[in-house]
Amino acid sequence: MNPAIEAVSISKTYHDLVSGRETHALDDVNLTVMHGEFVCLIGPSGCGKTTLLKIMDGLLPSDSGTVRVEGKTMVGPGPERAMVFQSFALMPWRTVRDNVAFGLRLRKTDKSATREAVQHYIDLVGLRSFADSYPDQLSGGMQQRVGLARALAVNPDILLMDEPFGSLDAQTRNLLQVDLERIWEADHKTCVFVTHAMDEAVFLSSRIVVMSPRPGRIHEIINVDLPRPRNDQTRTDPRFVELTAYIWDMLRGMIVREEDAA
Amino acid sequence: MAVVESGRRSTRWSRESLTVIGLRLGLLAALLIGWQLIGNDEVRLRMPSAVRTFQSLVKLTFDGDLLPRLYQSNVAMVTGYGLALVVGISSGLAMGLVPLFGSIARPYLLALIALPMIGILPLIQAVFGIGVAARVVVVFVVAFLYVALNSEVGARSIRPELREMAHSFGASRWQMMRYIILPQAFPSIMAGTRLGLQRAISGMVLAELFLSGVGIGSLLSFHRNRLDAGAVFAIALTMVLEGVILLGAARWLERRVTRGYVA
Amino acid sequence: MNTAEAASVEPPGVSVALTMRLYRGLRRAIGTNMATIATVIGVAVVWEVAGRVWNFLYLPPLSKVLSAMWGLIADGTVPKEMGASLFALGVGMAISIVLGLGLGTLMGVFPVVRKTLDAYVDAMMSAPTVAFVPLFILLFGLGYPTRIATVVLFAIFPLIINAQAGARAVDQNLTEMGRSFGAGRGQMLRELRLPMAYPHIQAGLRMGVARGVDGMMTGEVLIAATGLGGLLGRFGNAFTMDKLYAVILILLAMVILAERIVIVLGWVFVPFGRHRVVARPGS
Repeated sequence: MNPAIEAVSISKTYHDLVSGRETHALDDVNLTVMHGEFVCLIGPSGCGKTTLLKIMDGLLPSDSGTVRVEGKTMVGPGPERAMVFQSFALMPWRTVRDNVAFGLRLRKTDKSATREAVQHYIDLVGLRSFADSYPDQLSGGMQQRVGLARALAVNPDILLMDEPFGSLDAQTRNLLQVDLERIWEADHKTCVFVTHAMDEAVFLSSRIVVMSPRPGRIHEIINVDLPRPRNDQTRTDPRFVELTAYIWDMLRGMIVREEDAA
Repeated sequence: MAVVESGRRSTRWSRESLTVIGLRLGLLAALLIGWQLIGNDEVRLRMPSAVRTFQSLVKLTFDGDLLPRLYQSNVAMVTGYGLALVVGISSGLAMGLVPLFGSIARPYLLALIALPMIGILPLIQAVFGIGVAARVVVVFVVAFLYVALNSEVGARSIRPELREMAHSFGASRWQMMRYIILPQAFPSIMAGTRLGLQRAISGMVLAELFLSGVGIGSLLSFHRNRLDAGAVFAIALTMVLEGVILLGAARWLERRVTRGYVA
Repeated sequence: MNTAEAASVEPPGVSVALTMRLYRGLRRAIGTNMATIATVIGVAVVWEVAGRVWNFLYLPPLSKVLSAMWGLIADGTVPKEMGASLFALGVGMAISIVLGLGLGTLMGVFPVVRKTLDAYVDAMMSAPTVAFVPLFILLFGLGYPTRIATVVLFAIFPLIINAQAGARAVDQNLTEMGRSFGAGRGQMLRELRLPMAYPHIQAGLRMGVARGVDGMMTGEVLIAATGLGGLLGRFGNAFTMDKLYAVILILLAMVILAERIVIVLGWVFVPFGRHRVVARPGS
């Protein structure tokens, strides 16, 4: 059984043209994600988690190493992967409906199939009564739901999410985490999710990949054995608290070490 | 932008700007050569070549009346522009500081801006004739609008809390103007003076073309009547270049002087 | 919005329903433009009163101006000249838009082109290029070529500058999203880059056409005896002030109308959601 998506020996270095300084964003990173897994990438700033995600989506080229989807090497974005963006990246001149339909429109899907799919996913994320509104009429949480619906609408095998709840307030974040979990429970889509927040990682994932910065490497991989489906009660489960504390300890160690070295 | 070892940075900088300057000069050279090739020097009425135009320019400057006439026209322009600045800045500030006056006067000014400059020239000619007075009026009217509106914007961008603060410290009218109002309105006023200068120059040229009478305009129509395209082109270029140089200087000045101001 | 009304009212015929729609639309249009309408009425009143009371030779009351305008329209002077002027304007604008947007886009897309031409375009934009009109008259004569050339001379530079700004107005987040969903180059252009460039294109079109009308009139006045500009010059020389003001008012109306028309034409770039494209103040 092929893994859904793999990063094989990925390295990437950024060269600052003006200063000549080099940043080792990723150093020989290997990651395997099997079908149906929900994997979180977490780590302090500069650990390369977003870079890795973008390389996996084909938006950035790696200096060395490859990305394989279902065993096949991939260069560039493809229909089997879809991304949800931290900045939402919605087109302000299009309605919610048109935004969700974007990926389908690009693939020239026929009109009635598009309409059906769009309606289905708008309902799924709970935005039925806002289908004809414009992004500037929606709150941040609602805008990200549109982003999620848009990504789901193209029926990808793998869902990549780049700190999707990072710019939202804590309350909206909790609500969206529960919603995402609910949606995921329906078909167990393969997900790779980048986040800063430990509790978010523990809540959502089956496996957590902790990364360390400069150079970006995988530090440790943790299996999350909390029962599913997860809900608000899960947050008070002692195992949840234990895992969150464990990860925080690890992260804090990395951050403190950075500051000492600086 | 990253902070850098200074030596490397300045080399990078000048290499890039040298290339840009090189490209621009190259384009200019290409244009001049192309112009020379297109130009037809046999018939006076045809497109003059670069060389013929330059010759005309030299002749006009040294044998002809170019410089004194240019001076005459510019005196009219400077007078009109100066008046526009004085009246424009004060009325613009008044419009911005006294909301009632502003809301009454602003729509009229905005409507006048929509009207092309040429629209009022025949009117001014009818009232003021074709002499220096008419030119001053033309320049004044076209420049005044922009100076006034920009000054008004400047006056309206003053933060009320700073006015309150000065008031609570007992600032007099004059002190309020000097320490609170003028400094905050300053960037917009400067922008207005630059735009006003652009309009003044265009207004002067237009007045010269339309009102022949005295100054450069009459020189131009003289040579036009003689069908001397070379001289006409030379005069036109002079006026355009004068505009470009003056406006370039104005833009530089504005940048220097408003450095550090929050626009 | 107004769906509640439909349930209670029985439209007896298509024409009544249509009239109701028009009426509601008109009311809404008046509501939003209250301030402008009030100003116009104010100006009209002041002009009429001042003209009558003052009895200044150079300021006839508005009523005389309006009747002169009517006279000029009725006896065919204005329609005849306006037709010729509009032709010159139309051709000149078409050339300016195609060349201007094209060159501006090239400048926006290719830094080499931009850095070379930047300084010259900026200089030409604010320089008194009207100085070249007598030269055009000498070289091209008194007919359409000169008039069209003047329109292009005036109108093309704002179009170049704004097209350039539009081509460079790229939201990185959105283009990244577009790539992620596999947009091809044509799709990137149509779905993302054009809507992002649109506010600039619109600003350029408006400024370009306003200057184009200016160029049309200026060319005609300097050529004298042709088009609306010719009328302007003629009435000025003859001191027939009421007719002069009438032409000025027509000119003003032309500018406003031309701007509206060109905005509608600009909708071709963004056939959807154009009212929602991120608005930015025009240059």
